[in-house]
Amino acid sequence: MNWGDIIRRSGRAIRQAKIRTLLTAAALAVGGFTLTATLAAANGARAYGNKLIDTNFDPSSLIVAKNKNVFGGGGTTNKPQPYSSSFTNVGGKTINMLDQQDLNKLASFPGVQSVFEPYTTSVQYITGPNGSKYTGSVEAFNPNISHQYAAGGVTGNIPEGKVVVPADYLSLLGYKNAQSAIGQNINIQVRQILGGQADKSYTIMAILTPPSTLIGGNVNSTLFLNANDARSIYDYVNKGTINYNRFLTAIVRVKDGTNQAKLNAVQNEIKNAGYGAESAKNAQAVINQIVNVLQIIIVVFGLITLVASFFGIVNTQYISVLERTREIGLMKALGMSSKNVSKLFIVEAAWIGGIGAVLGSIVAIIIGVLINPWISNKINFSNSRLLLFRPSQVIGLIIFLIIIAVIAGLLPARKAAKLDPIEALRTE
Amino acid sequence: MIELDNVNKIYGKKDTAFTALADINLKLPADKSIAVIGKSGSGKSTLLHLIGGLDRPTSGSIVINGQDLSKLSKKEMDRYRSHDLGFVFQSFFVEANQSCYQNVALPLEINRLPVLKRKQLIEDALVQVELADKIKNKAGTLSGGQKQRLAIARAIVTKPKVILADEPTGNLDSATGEKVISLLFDLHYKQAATLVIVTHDSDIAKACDVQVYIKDGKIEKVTTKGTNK
Ligand SMILES: Nc1ncnc2c1ncn2[C@@H]1O[C@H](COP(=O)(O)OP(=O)(O)OP(=O)(O)O)[C@@H](O)[C@H]1O
Ligand SMILES: [Mg+2]
Repeated sequence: MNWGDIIRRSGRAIRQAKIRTLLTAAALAVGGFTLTATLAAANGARAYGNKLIDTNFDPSSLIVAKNKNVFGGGGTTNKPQPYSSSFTNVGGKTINMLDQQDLNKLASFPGVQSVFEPYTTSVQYITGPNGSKYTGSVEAFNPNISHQYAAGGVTGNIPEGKVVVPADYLSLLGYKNAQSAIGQNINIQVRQILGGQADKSYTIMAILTPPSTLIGGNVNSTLFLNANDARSIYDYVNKGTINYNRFLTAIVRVKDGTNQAKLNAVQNEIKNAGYGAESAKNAQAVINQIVNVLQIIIVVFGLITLVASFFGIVNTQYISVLERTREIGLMKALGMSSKNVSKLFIVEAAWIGGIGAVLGSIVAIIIGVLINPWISNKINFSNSRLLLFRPSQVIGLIIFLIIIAVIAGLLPARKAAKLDPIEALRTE
Repeated sequence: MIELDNVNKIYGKKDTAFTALADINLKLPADKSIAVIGKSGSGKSTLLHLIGGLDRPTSGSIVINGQDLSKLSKKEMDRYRSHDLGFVFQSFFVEANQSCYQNVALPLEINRLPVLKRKQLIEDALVQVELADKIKNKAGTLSGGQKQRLAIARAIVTKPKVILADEPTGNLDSATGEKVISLLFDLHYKQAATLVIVTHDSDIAKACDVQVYIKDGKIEKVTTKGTNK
């Protein structure tokens, strides 16, 4: 028998047992659905993570701290530490800080293009036209990070006296909308830790759209200033304290840092000098690791349902063989080889697998298309999609499920192939 | 020519051993019609299965048109059945939920005949059994006689050299049975095929060129049309 005839005959057998086929396929479809949706969700999460990193980190930069423990958490010890001028104690925890010498040293490393200090400072409050007071912090604008703007924009660096404001502040502080806020003033009240108070005013240059959130935690309430403005606030606030001229982290931009090898080389160099250094890639790896773990958990559940449907297919195919004992006997009596009889039932199983897999992925894709906008809206994904279907993955999964079904069909097919035609024809 | 030389068929082993056929020696002429007659359980079907290559004898040799079946591999035996033989069974064994066309197509598919060459052969076979108008009907919708005619069409579509029919009228009333038998005789003449019919019916037996009488697994007597008359 030709493959064409085998496929047609087994397809006909499938059609004759519609309900049974559909039910068996449905079990497989559940697994297919879970796996398709999981892969799509993981794709979406990774894509979102990448976007998040891109809008918050410069990919060719490293975040550097006094030592690696600042990132790991291990160094922020709450035990008493021997005094050193580079220690500070924040909320009962001792943290190593960078000072100006460190920044200069970092800048002198070969391969380093520039060192950027964000001067992140919590301010007392921020006010606008309606006089309401809101908390927030300020930070130096990093020209190497791409932002999305709801209105206005910054090309290159932000000039002194100007500010970039997150959209969340607009209505709170009494601005009509993003467009009309451009060019207006915003006031920042800063308070010196050792007493003094100052009111600073800046002109709004651009409004940030909400998406660049989640990472960095406070980006939603961070106003971006020119580095000199940020520095002067930082110095003003910390003047006279142990933190004066000390910095938690610095952003080190690497020459040709998009070249992973060069980035890694500089990262190692800095690490070897005793500093802690993380790249956007590292942060990305952390995000991806979380996504991967979640993905594995769901995939395992998907695979468990596949095991169940595997036995479903074995069962269905055994019934099919039993039901068609006479037909098998006839085919063998007419000279059909055992190999072809076996193929007939394996292809039948493949049909079930294919139907189930296609069913599952279609349902997953339909649900994805329907709920994507809703989810994006709910969790502030803006124009990202949570469920990201890759055709190659969907097709690969369908092929995988067909292979599973074929394996499930092997045993029943063997039984069919081994039937003695005389015995088979005797069954009434 | 169908030659059986010292053929024995023993089912089971030791305690349960049962000799279904003992010392069968037969030389049956090619292109003739042969009736195998005997009581129930006498071994008629067993004999037919051996000739048809569905089973192998415990000892002895079977040579069909010069082909020694004991020397055939499994694959060659499959080929022998699909190319040289046509089977007709007592209970038809047509696939009820497939069309007449699909039923008759089965042996051609097994023979790997190209799709384009099939249609003509199938139509011809159905015309010969007078089922041309039912070509698209499901076999399940046919009457008993029609089903057996469909089975005959399936048996002859490959133009076999030997047609084996095991009580082809056993499930039919006498009038329908007669029609089926005359059809079988017709086709065996037209296609110059050896026809072996297992039957209880003495009228059918008499119509054949050779009669082989079997009793308790042994040949009782062999007669030919001439001597019988
Ligand atoms: N697989 C088997 N195992 C054991 N005994 C068998 C087997 N097949 C057939 N027999 C026995 O061999 C004997 C001959 O059987 P066979 O089917 O050839 O009879 P038959 O002449 O065709 O009878 P009927 O006219 O009822 O069809 C019977 O006694 C039967 O019980
Ligand atoms: Mg019999």
